[in-house]
Amino acid sequence: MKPITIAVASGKGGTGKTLVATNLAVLIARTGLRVTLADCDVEAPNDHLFFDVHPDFRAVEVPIPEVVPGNCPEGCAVCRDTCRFGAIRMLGSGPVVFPDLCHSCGACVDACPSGVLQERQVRVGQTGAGVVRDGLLLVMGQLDIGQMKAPTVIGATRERADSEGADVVILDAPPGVACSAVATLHGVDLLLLVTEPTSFGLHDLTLMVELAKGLNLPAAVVLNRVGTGAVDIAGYCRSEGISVVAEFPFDREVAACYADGGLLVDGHGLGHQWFSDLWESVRAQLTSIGSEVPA
Amino acid sequence: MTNCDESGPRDERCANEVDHECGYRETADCRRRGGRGRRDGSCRRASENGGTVHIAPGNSVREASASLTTIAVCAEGPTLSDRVHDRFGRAGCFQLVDPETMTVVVISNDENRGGTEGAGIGAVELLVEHGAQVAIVTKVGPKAADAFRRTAIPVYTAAGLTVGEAVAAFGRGELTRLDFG
Repeated sequence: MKPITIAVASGKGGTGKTLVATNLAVLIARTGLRVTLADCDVEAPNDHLFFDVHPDFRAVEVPIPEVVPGNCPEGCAVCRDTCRFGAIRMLGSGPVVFPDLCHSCGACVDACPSGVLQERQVRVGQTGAGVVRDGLLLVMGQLDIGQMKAPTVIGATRERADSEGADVVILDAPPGVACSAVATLHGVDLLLLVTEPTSFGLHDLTLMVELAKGLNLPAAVVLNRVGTGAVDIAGYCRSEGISVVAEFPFDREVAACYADGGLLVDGHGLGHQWFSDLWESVRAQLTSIGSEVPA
Repeated sequence: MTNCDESGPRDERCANEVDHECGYRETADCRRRGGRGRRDGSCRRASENGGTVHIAPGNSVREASASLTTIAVCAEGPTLSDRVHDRFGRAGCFQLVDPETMTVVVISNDENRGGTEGAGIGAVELLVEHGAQVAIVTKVGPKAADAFRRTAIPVYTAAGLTVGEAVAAFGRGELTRLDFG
């Protein structure tokens, strides 16, 4: 059975995506459901810092064409003209492949009349998976330094998360609304948008809501750090018809617990209640949009 | 249109010709190369006294110039008094300067400068296609440097100069060559 997939996302960085994703995943697992938490912030994954976990890593590779010695006819530029991404250029001595621009579509290899292009598997990152405790699995993606294909690694991370047979998959998304966010969010059952009551928080929430509309995804808002600003996030959400499913205060004890690598559900007096309430609200959201949540 | 040249199948070229204002006749052959909207046909040649000569995009400047050296300069505008552009792949145009006569052929960089990525790589390819033998820039990014490394074009740096001053300084051996490793 396909798991329920919830993405925790935010237009603005530092609003509390990881705080919400890690605590919610642990809370749901404690209710007896099988949960996979997938850290899709592949340029800076950090969910694993909150757990004692030893992931099993697998390489993520993509096919990149390379020019092999052969009969490349004078004046032929079929591969260059076929590439829609400008990744092959004629620089005087035949075709030159620029891997950073290549999208691994294979069109150039198919089009080459002379068989001088061959695909080679090139590593761009890795995925890891490790059991945190019974019922909770952590999956993480990691883009290699110097590589640019974050969406590819995110895709592999989601595939690995989906293959582990969970009831609920929580995706911890990278910040922003660009390619990496789209790769993480498309096709999920519910978006949890974490924001804060500041001008930046509202501005970047509006971007995220626009993206959610574009991807046709239902969304709900978690308002974090209430008290750090006075911007009317709730008013905006009402005007957009989006529910605010939780509000967490701007609280020194939260920051202290988090900075110490702790989970609020364990290390904060109100943490368990906050996330139990959040999960109930999320379940209600999911039910209202027709997604069946296992009991 | 009946004015087909001999370099392609007659029927295909006739069916796909576009006459540009400059007198250049774009053929299907040209457009087919432009999967990403390359080669917009906006090449023009301007000498110092303001005269303009149009050349077909994709044709080597070597065909239009008898000079032994073609110096490509990334430029803010089409004349020798315009400055060397401080960006490479995003420059508006390149001037191909014959240092003996100081005549200028301007090639548009519109196909690269508006792209989301790989502008510098595309600009290097543009210079190769136009037979540039030397390039003068302010600086180039890492991808363009990688592309230049694969060519035989030496690259020199000239910040804060006009195109004319830069070419003259190159002639006096005063410009520094960039080392791409």
